[in-house]
Amino acid sequence: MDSSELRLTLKKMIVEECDKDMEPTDIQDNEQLIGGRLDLDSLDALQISMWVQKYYGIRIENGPAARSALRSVDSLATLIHKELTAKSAEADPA
Amino acid sequence: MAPTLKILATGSYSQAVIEEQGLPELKELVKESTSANVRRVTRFVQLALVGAGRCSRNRSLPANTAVYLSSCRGDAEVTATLLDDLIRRRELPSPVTFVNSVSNAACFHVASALGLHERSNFITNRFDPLAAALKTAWIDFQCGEVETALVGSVDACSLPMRDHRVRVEVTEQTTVGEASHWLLLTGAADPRPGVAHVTALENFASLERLREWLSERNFRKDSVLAPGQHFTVCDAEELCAGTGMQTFDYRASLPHYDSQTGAAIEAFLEEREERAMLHINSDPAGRYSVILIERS
Repeated sequence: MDSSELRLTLKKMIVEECDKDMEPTDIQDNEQLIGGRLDLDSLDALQISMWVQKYYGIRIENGPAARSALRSVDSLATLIHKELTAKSAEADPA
Repeated sequence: MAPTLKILATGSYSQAVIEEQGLPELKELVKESTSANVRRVTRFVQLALVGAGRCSRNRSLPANTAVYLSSCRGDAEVTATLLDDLIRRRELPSPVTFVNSVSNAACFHVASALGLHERSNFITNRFDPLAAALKTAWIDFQCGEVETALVGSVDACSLPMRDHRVRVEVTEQTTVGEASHWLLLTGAADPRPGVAHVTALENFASLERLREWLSERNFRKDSVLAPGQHFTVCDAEELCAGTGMQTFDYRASLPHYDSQTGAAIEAFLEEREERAMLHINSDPAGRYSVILIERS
């Protein structure tokens, strides 16, 4: 999955999981997720974290790591890409 | 002490559900009824919001209005989803599913959408949920702890209809539906004009005790007897015999859902001319619940 595809998947997920009345493409890549125009809250943050764990097997830890990962679609995509790359390297060290 | 609760307003939603057409969309109705942008809620919560919102008629309710929401089965859909996640799929439920599975979630959303900060209670009762909620509210009024209250009942459908029919114990021939019925109540001393009063909320352990109570009250032809869904029209006609009271079969045009007591109250106020309505329901153990509504 390329970077723009991943970002679109995440935007669709946010609209679906957080029950937002908007088009996924209305969310900007670098837009603040929690408390910004989107007005997502801590329950939305949990909902997004659980989805990421379920579909990518990536656990977003509480605290500063979660705040950083959930800052925007960009930051979330970066974390997922990094973790998937690391997993892939572990699975195939050669 | 006989209760006297003033009904300031009623509000409701009821709709038959046809499986091939899917469940009616409620999101827009929620917006229209409450002016609130509510998200992450279940169908049960949406129904509660539509009914309560219509009852408040977009007027600003006092923040100290209490909420008493009753139901026969509660939010069966979210409970099924939660159990499906935990048991069948062996997964953690989503946070939203978990939060909505708390029985009082619908009360929270009603209070939040209407700007209320008083107590809220979720009451389940197998045979007459609204009567149980009214009685609970009455106790709080009597203790002086509540001044205004929204009291309602909600029954939601869930698909597949086959499973829903098993839950509500009806055959394929029965038209099923869902509903949300609400009353805005205040104490008798409140100077605001009301549409009616609740002047009796009684429970009887036998038909004999109910008959005694009826004979003491001396109901006449200015009253109607509305049989609840577990009390047959035949039983009602027998009780009416010799009193001059008519039976009021408000249920003939309703689809099947669990708590139709609110529909009786609203239909009486809108369609009938009599002074009072006696709503009587029963349960398989032979107990009876009575609500007396008298026009203001």
